[in-house]
Parts: sequence; structure tokens; C-alpha cells
Amino acid sequence: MADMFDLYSAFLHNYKNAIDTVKKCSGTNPQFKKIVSTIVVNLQTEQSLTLEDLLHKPVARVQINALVFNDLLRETPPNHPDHQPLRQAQKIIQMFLNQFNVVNQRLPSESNRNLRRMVRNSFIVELVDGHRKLRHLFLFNDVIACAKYKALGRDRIDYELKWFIPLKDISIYEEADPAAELKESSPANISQVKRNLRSVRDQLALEAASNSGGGTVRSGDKYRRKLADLESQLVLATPNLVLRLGNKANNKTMTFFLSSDFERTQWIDSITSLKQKCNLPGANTINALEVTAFIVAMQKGMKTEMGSYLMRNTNDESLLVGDLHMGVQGLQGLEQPTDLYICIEVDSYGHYFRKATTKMICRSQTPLWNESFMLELEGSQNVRILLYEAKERPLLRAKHILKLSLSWLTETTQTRSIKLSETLELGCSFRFVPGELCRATTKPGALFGAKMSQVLKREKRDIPFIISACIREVERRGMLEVGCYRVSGSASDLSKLKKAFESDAYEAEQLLREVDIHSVTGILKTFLRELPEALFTDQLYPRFFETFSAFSNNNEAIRTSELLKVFEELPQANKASISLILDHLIRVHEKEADNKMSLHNLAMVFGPTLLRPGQTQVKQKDPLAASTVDVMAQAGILYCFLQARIKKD
Amino acid sequence: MASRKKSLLKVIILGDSSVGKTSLMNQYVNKRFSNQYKATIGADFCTKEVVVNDRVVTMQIWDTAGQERFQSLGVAFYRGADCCVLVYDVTAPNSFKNLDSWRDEFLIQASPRDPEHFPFVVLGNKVDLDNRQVSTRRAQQWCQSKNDIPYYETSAKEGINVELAFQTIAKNALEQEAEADVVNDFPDQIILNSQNNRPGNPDNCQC
Repeated sequence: MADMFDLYSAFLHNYKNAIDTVKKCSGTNPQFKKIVSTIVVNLQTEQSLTLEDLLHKPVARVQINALVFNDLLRETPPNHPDHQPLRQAQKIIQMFLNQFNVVNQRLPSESNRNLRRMVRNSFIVELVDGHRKLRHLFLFNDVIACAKYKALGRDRIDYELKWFIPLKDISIYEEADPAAELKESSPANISQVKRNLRSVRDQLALEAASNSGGGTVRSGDKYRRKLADLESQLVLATPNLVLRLGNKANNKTMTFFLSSDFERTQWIDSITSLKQKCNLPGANTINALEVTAFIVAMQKGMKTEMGSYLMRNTNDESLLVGDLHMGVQGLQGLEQPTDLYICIEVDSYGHYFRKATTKMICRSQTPLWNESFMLELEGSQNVRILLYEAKERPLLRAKHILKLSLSWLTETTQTRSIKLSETLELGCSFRFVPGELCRATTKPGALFGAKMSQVLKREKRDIPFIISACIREVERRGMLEVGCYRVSGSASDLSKLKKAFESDAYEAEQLLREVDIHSVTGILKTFLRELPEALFTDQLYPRFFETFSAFSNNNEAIRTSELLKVFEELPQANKASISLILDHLIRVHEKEADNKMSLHNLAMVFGPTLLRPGQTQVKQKDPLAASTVDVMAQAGILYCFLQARIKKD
Repeated sequence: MASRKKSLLKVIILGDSSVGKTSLMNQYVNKRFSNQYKATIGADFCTKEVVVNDRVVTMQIWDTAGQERFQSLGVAFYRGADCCVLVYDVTAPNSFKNLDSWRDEFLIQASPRDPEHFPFVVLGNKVDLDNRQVSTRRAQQWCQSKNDIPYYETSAKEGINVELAFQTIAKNALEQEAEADVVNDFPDQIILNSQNNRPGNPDNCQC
């Protein structure tokens, strides 16, 4: 029989063509259809077969043979003389099947319902005896199978089948059963892992910066391995949406954790619809080896669908970390008015998480959302845009996966039109702010009250981390807040933040995300005020003050240009920080309608924060009057700078 | 005795930004309320003649920028205050929590003779808004714990309790004044002020 394989192979390859031809002819020629339907072969079993079934016979035979050998092998003791030949035969068939399936899986699925085909597959987190395990779940049209990854050396992965459930025996539990034990024996500390990850990433970047000309790669590799290890911990720990599958045959339940509701719905829908269509005879036994063979066969064509991190090669730096500002504008190309909303999901080390949902726009043919979102990227590659129609059960109208890449993402906003389907186009805008390294500060007093130059030297940056981190956080969620920068934060938050920034920058950044937004603005103002020398420097303060006082409000233009000249004399580092702050304040001001922060208010708040006389310059004669005049001037000077910047744009 | 009393009372209003300090002063002095959202620059004062205990006194009310905590104005501004009004916004829990630090800071900067009994008045402003977050009980408890500070709930917008609150402020300020008179012979104030004006202080050199 082994020699006949080629013949079988030819037949199998032709099988699709034959069926197609039969179908095509039946479709175009009623007479042919009639003939086909009359070709009925009577076998001894009294079972009648159609031409299609007949053509399928040899196909089935190959599979059956594989099964027979399998069973034989299982029943034959290893010391039996037949064992060796049987094993060989099985191997040959297996190889043949593997070879064939690689080709065959690309067959259009509708061509034959009897042929096993893969419907969905994805890596997934399964809860096994209280532990989260990484698995790969395969849904075929007749069986669902779960496999374990086995690393086979460099960049190669094999699968080891853990279990399978025939489709007819599957039951789905969408909701977590409160009675069911979902206890995890050792739940991971996600924030701890993220924190470690952050520090390893910083180390790597430092490494890269220090030996950009090559040199020691080995310690870099060590960090990279550590990075991969931490990332895989995250992959296991982060999903928390439960999906449970039951096996009616043995009443066992399998529990999975998924990250996105979209994925969960897709799995459930696929299984449900397959079950409805499923008209396979119940006698079809499914065998573990056969399933394994299929899985192995699928493997080659699957790489792209797998968790990004698994197939990641060590030099691949494509996972993004930072903030993605995404604007959702309007949708074009609807045929009729519908109730629509959009969900945005972002992947993080392979898992997608829902990050934002737009409001629903009712009965519009050209829905316009004009909403913007701040999406936090952490180990991300893609953004998934899902267009839903509001119904009793939301109906997915279209989806699009947008690959995020530094090749097109920039720190300036850019608009893109995204084709969600043949006809639907969604206007979007994107701005990416890369995440920054946060290097731990060491001792108390090293930040608040320390000199700007020392802070920058220790942090090895152009802008103190605390400034950029606070600004980023305000832009994330504070721009529409009434009294942004005016309203005070809570004293206890401020002292917590202060402590955090002095001890561990990562901790501080986490805390920034949790505290009241006014505490974020408060800590920034505190830092600036506690600098021993204000950003506009002690040395130049009298010059700013005199220049401002020398011109009246009527000479605004000259006054501003003279002030700008003095500004140029500031040290580079100060100019950089001031510019960043001013640009940010202008963005705050652009939202005045919401946050009520006029230029006057912003200048009032930041004038005395950024400009103040040095300790030795304070005139003591009439401190009250002098300081009030000073404060007026400080606010006035900042007002000039803010206006100059607006005009420049 | 009465003739020796000052007829000018210095009242200082403190509290977080945008709790309504300026609005309260405006409501009390000018009977006006503006919806304008405007931060106060430095400090400003208004005066108003009030009758307390059958005496006409001038109340000098200092409105401050909640923003610039004690930095630019500092000691000079707080000195000689007869009463300190602490304002918070009943819809902003933080502004209530920060009352502690405003009170402490005032006592440090103003260094009144008898900090334990210096007259404070606490105003919970914006009671006209419906998203109240600090309960009356909580505020009263805090006031009780600080030597029974008088507490009023006000709305600068609707003019609720503003008049009443400032009457109490004037009364308490005057009482402080009266008590101060008893110890009038002690020259503390002169010493404190003279520090700033001491001849030969290099910082003071005008040449």
C-alpha cells in the first residue's frame, strides 16, 4: 500500500477539482445534475452513496488507514514481531498526511463538510489545577483541541495535545459559575511584574545607549531573556475574562482566561454556529493521534496568528510602549442610518484589551464621533477597531486591525482614513508619545529642592522626569478638568507623590495615574516652586522684571520681543523645560471652554511658579507691596510668553 | 478703654484655589456675584464699615491667591491679622482636607501671641450646588476639634449666610482685639516688626 501513496496523493489533490467540477456542472446544467443524482452505488451494506460520497471514499480511506494503524499499534505489545513494521507504516502514513494537510488546509472550507478543517485557533490561558498555563486552542469543525507548547530549540515550537472534546459534546458556560472553583493557587502580582519589566527595559535601553557601537552584547542578552521571561509572566497573568467549556461526555469543565470580550464572543459564536451546522454522524470517533496530526499540519501556516511574543525574535523591538492618542472622527459609506458605536482594543504582549468605547450615535448614516482617547501601550503592536451595531446582542459590523509601527507613528497628530470594509471608511487621528525610561532616584532630597542641573545630571535627561511625567498625565486625563492647574490637590496625595518620586520613579508614575488630577498638577507646581532657583533663573529675573516694567501694556509687541531676547539668554536646559511647559499650557488653554483656564488664569498660576527673585534679591523695605507688585509682574511676564507662543503657532 | 481700641480689623481669607474666597468677599462687600472663572493675583483687599457691639469699625478683608501658597506673600502679609477665615468648597473634599495645612501655615507665618485661642472662622462654601461631598457633620467635627471654631455654610452665589458669617468674623476679630489690649504693654509686636527694619541689615540696603 505504501507504494500507492503517490497515487492517493494525486487523487487527493484532484479531489477538490473533481468536486468543484461536479458542483459547477450541476449548477449550470440541470441535466448533469440529474445524472449525478442518479449515480447511486449500491453496496452490500445497503447504504446508498452519491457521486460526491463516492469520490470521497479514497480520501476517507487514507484517514481510516491511519487510524487502523494507530489502533493496531496501540494493541500490539512492543516486543511483538509486528510492532516494528506497524510503527514504520504508521510513520509513513503520518508523514504523508502531514504533508498533505499542509496543502489541504488552504482548501476553501465550503468545498467539503466532511473534511476536517480548522475554524479558529489562538494561544490562550487555561486554568489547570489552580495554575495558569499557556495553551493553544484549536477549533476544528468537529472537535476542539487544546495543546501545550513545547519549545524545540531556536524559534521552533511544537505542540503536545493535552485534551480534546468532540464538538457534539461541548457545552459553553459564558458566565463564570460562582460555585465553580476559580481559585488560583498563586495569583501573580501584575504590578510587581510590570514594575520589574519596566526596570529591565530601562536597563536594556541604558545598555543600548552606552554601547551603541557594538561591544558587549552578552549582558544585553541576559536582560532580553529576563524581559522575555517577565513578558510571558504577564501574558499568563493579565487576562481575566472567563470562558468555560464543558465536556458532556465526562462532565469535566475546562476554564480559560481571555483578555477581550471580542475574542470570547468570537470563540463562543464559532462553537455555537458549528454545533448548529454540525451534522456529522455521531459514530465518527475522534482519536488523539489524528488530532495531533492535524495540529502539526496546521502549524506551519499559523505563525502570524500566534501571540506576538512567542514568535518574537530577540532583536525585534517592535513592541511599543507609550501613550497613543487616538481620535475617532466620522464614518463614511453606510447604506442606511444605524445605531453604531466603536470599540478600540489594543494588544499587550499578544492579548487584546478593550481600551475605549465611543458613545453611541443613533440613526445616523454619517455618524460623527469626534472623540479622542488616550490608549496606554504596553508591549503593543496592533490597534483593533471594532464597529458595533447596537442591538440586543451587539452586532459586529466591521473590524480592522491596524498595525502600529514607529515607521508612521509620530509625536505630531496625523490623520488616517481606515477602511473597515469594502465600503466603510473611518477617519482617525493618531499621535504617539513614546514611553520614557524612569530611572530610580536614590536618596530623599535628590529631587525636591535639588538644583535643576543636578536633577538632569542624575537622570541623564533633557527634561526632568517629573515634569514630563506630570504633563503626560495631565494630557491623558486632565485637559477637560475645570480649574486644571488652578485647583489645589490634596495634601496627603502630594506628600505620597513626593515620597514616591524621591524613591522610585516607576512607583511614582503608577501613583500619578491613580491620584486626583489636581494632585498631579499640584506635584508639578510643588517641584517647580521648590527648585532652589526658579526656571527663569535668579540671575535673569531682574532683567525680565525690568524689561516687563519698562513697557506699558500699550507696547505689548515690543515688550514681548524684548522679553524673548532675555529668554534666549537662559541656559539650554531651562529653555527646554520652559518650552515644554508653555506648549503644554497652551494645549490646556485650547480647552478653555471646558476647563475654564484662560491665559490669565494660567499665567497667574505659573508666573510665580516659574519666575521669582533670588533669595538675595528680595527687597525688605515693604515686603508686602513689593511681593504683590512682583507677583503681578511674574504673571504678566508669563502672560506675554504664552501669548507669543500662541501667535507663533 | 474703648478709645484705645483699634478701629481697623484685619481679616484674612485663606483656602484652596477656586473655593470661592474672592466671591465671598465680593458678595459681602459689593453684594455681587460673578460667574467669571478668574484666579486672584497675589492678594487684594476690600474694606467695609461694620457695626459690632454698637461700634463702627472698618473691616479690612484680605483676599488671597489660593494658588501661591505662602511663597510670595509670606510673613508680612499674615502679620497683624485679627481673624483668619478658612474657606473650603463643600463639593471638593480635598479643599476640606487641606484646611489643616492652611490653619497650620497661618499660625506659623502669623505667629499670633496666643495660637490656641486665635479666632478662626470656617466657611463651607458653594452649598447651592447639588453635588455636595463634605457633610456638615464632618466639618463640624473638625471645627470642634480645633477649639470650637465657628462654622458656617455659605453660598457666595446665592448670598446664603454670607452676612451672618462676616458678622461673626467681625465680632470675633474685635474680641481678639480686646484681649490683645489687656496685654498691650508687652512690646512683642514692635520687636517682630523691627526685625525687618533693623538698620544695617544688608538685605535692606537701598544704595
